[in-house]
Amino acid sequence: MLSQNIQISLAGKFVISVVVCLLALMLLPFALYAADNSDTTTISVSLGSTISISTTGTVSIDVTPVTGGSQSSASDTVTVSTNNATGYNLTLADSDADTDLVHENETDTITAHDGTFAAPTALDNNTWGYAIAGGDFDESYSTINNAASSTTKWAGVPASGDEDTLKTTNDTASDDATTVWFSVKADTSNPNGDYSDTVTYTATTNN
Amino acid sequence: MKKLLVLLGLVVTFFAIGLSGKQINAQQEGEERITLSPAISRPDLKTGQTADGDLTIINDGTTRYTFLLYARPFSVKGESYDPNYTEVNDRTEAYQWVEFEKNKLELGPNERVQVNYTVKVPEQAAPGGHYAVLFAETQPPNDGSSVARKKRVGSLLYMTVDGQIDEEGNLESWDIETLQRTKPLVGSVRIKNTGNVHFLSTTHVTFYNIFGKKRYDRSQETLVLPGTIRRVPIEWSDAPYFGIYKVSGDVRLLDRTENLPQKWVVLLPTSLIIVLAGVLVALFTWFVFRHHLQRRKRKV
Repeated sequence: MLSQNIQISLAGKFVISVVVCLLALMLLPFALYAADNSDTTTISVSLGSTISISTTGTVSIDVTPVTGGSQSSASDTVTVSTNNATGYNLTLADSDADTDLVHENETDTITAHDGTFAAPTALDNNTWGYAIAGGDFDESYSTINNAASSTTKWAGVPASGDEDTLKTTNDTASDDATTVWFSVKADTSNPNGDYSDTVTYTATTNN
Repeated sequence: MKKLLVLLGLVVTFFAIGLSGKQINAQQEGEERITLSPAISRPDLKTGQTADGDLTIINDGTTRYTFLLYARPFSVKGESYDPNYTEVNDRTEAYQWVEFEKNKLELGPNERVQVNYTVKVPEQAAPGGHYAVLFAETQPPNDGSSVARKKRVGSLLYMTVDGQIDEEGNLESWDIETLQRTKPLVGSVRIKNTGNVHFLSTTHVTFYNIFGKKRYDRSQETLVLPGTIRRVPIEWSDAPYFGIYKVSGDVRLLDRTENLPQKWVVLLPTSLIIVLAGVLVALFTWFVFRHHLQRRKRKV
């Protein structure tokens, strides 16, 4: 009788243990839920809007003029980054009203080409211009070294305040590169020496 | 001797790796980069108020440069909203209200500076939107370039001066060509602002295939300036080579939603038309030839 009691007691303990385990398992989700509630933290982050622009190196164009004219070109890469969701505008213009390349003697000049962004054309002698591949310009450009003739299309750099819009985007940008080509065509009528001008790239958000 | 040669080889390799690293660094040198924040701000102002603001300028390039800070008018040209930084009118003369505490600074690589400015709103300023752009402009070094480059980044300033504010505007049109030859698939909505202050619009467009399954979805927020129509381009650049889609969506502006009626678009490249025409011609030729053969057989 005693041994039977012990057997029942063991069985009872087993049943009780199982019931306790089941109850614990059933309560566990509630315990976890409670823990979730008590640990909730709201993290708020505010990202500021930024825009950046960069170029690298120099733009140097070497021309050895001949009587009929000789043309050379060099490229510049402008990169723009912005976290503005509606993108950016990139424009180009001369830094002032004088769009000529001016000789170091400050007298002789190479004038801006009369082709435009909307209607670019081949360079004439003693003119300079810029180009970006695509659109009304040529599909692609490569470096020109003292070419006697070139049919590539160029536009004159507009005066300050009359910017040409090179690119408009509609999304955020990370180091979005635009290659801008500059070219000079010269004959022997201009004196030798260094000619230079300053252009301005402008980047603003496209809100 | 062999060990000596191996050791020598290792030393040469080590130096070569070291030198190539220096070459890469040399290539990265000379990057002139200017970053500006915020890129846009939209303060609400009162007539006669002097408001404070600040710009953060960061030199995250590799060269030291001097830069200038100044304000200019901001407006737009045409419906494509090409920026105009020179035209002065009633809405853009506000650039003259801005005064920087410093106008010329110098920054070395990885340096940043916060520059304060004030906006002094005249008592007689008209209510509504006034627009300016605050520029940070690098000054080019004298490095012998044929074409020296200034780089400038602008922080747009969309100011609303209190008073009689008229927020009015509408969806002017919704266009997408039914037959398009190449991707990206393009369309546009035109939003008109007839009020005296800018407003924010959200254009939402969805492309579905012929079975009604959503293939492309895009939302775009744009600000529309008073007295202008803004053309908001819609572009699905990753569209498949060809397909038939129905397009619909809506434009949310001034607390209301204007639906874009559903339109169908067929993307059919010219090359595919040529192939299809070729197949049709081949089928027609084969049919005529077969018919001709059958007639000859009957006669025989």
